[in-house]
Amino acid sequence: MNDLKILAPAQHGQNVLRQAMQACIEATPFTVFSADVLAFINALSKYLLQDVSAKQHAELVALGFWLRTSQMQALKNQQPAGLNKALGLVLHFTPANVDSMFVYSWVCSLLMGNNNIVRVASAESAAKNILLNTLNVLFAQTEFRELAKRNLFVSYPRESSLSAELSLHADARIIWGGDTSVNAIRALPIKPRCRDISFADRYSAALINGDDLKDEQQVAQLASLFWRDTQPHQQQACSSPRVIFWLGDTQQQQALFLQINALAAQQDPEIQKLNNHLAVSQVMQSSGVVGKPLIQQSICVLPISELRAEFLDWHMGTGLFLLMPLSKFDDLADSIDNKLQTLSYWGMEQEQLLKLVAQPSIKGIDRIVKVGHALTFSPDWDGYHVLDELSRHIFVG
Amino acid sequence: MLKSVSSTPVHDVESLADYEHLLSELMQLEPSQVNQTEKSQRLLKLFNILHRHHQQHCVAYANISRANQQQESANSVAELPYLAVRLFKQLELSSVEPQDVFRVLQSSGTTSQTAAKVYLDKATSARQSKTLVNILQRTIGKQRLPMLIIDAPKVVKDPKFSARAAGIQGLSFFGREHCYALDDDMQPNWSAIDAFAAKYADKPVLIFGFTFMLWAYFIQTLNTQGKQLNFSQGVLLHSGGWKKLEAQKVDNTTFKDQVLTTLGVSRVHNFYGMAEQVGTIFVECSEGHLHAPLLADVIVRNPVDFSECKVGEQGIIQVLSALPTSYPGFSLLTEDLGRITSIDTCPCGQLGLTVAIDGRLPKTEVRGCSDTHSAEAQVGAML
Repeated sequence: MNDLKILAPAQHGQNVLRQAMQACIEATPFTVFSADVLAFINALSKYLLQDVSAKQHAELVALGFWLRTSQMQALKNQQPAGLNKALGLVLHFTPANVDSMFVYSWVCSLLMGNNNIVRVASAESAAKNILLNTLNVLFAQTEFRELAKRNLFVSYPRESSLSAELSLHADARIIWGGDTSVNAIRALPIKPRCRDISFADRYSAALINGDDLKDEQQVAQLASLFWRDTQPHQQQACSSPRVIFWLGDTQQQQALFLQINALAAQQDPEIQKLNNHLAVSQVMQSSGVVGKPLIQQSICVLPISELRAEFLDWHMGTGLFLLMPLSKFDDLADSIDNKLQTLSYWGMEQEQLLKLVAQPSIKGIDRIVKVGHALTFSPDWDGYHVLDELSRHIFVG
Repeated sequence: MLKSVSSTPVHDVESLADYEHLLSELMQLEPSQVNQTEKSQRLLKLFNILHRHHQQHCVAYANISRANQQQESANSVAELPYLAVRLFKQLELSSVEPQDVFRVLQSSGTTSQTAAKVYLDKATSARQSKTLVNILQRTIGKQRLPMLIIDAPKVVKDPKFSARAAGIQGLSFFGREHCYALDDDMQPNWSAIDAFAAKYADKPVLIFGFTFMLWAYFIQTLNTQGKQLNFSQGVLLHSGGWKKLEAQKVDNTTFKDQVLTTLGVSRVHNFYGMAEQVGTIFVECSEGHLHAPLLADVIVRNPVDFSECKVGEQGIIQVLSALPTSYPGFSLLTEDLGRITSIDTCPCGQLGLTVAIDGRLPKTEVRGCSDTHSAEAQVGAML
């Protein structure tokens, strides 16, 4: 127990940690979309949208927007009719690379009334600290005392036995992480009816139809939308595009990359970025199917003639794109594997994309969105309907 | 493993003969005879041969060269292509047939770290040893001296520490009557130290340790215990990087002052090198400068556009070594930050350039990827 820290709600003294955890495990869950929970989410949203330090992080502002009461109400209205109930205790293992992501899946679980223990990744980040401070401020308020009792944000070393211990109490586990860490958690014994929702290694791509990119204005618009999908979390979110499939006319291609590069250049320069781009470019070029970077400044665009799985393992984010030309739309099917999560598109018909994904041989693609919306969270994520997964629907015959 | 190209064109055999000839010519010169301009010109010929050689014998290297549309030969050392040093952790880069691999050098000994793999054939390995001996003898002389090793004997026995052990074993070759100054709890082993000191105080001895451990487990402990040794004729070699000492605000001057006070040693030499370029180590001279050895060159590059930095400007260190023919590591962009501090002007009398190593590039955190690399492990692999 010595390695356990409760990050939120703030605890006083080591000796109460075990009691706090036991209380969280044993507390009776809330009802779905309870008034207490909705009031809390509303307060969290307001805080994030008003707090000076939170406002400096685009991902926290986006989170604040998603948490607005109107959004929550819309989710409530989409609930299936009849009786829905919480599962009980949901255990969350959060990702290290995307520091605000754990809030989305936690809020989904909270909406469905569950008690939650969230293991926050140990990596330090400003956004994460702001989030935890915010939670602590709200948890300390009298009206959220019952909610604070049922939601614990903890940290402990990876090698601790706590993951195993907590897994035995869980009614569902949400597991974010690389394939290896996800599998390590999934190997821990659970109750027979515990549900695992695994968000493992994925990558995303953008499909750009060059025939629909005619003038400067369109180039500027696409560049700005595309950068919105790439900039947060340094392109390390699995929904940020790392691959660009290019269809049709290439006349505006260089102009587009220059524009995106200009947007990237507005950020504080990272001293190690170019070196990372060089290392990743060279390791990919060693395969013989990757060419000379079209641009290698604030972003790096590498032309490829074949998309190989290891390229995505080597990719480190920070503005590197693999450019795969397609001679016709149907060729896209050959480059899609089951790790492709989000396909964002420009200049395409949605029906055409749906028709492609509907083919039984296509194993990848869980999200199809317009460029600019790759990072917009919805409870439909990675092929799961998260709210349904985290609740029980009572059949009445 | 990436296979080397099997057919060897005739002109390559000629090139490698040229290479050996040019290399031995250069090796016969003294660092006080060859200025930077002449050295770079001589090295450029060798590097151009090595560039063609690895294009012909290492598919991965050839692919990278082709992708970047690189020239067949460069007109200056700065124009030569360079590989990111990290590639040796991700790829198996070899320019020899598998049956000719004599040893695979691993830069790190623990499983949590991604180790660089360096493929050595007999010829490359022999060249490296010869060069290392040549360089170190200039500092410590040709005699094998009684040697005090500031580390624990368990290090060379425990497979977990294999890289640190490799460092100790590499340098042990230059000494005799080896004495480990620390016990297995990393505390001074006074009975061993006293016996060594009784025999060799005020006589020529060789002392070796990893920079941080030497400081934390020996110098500091001697200080707190109020003990002093007197190796006034000793020479101390140390390596492993300053990062942890910088955190404690210990610079080279403080370090040397304390070594003199506690050990009585005034000849203290730091050295810099890496597993990917064994042999061509940079040794600190009597004036406190790290010298690029005869068979190596350095370019410092601006991290933002890779342009060449001026003397004194900080950037990423690119190291070039004339030695490796069995793996394509003759020109590497390291992840170290540093500066060229002088060219042909060091008062110690050696010509060529001197460098200062300022630290490492910050790491980019990547999910699921552990890429830490202990400094001691690096030293182990470079010797």
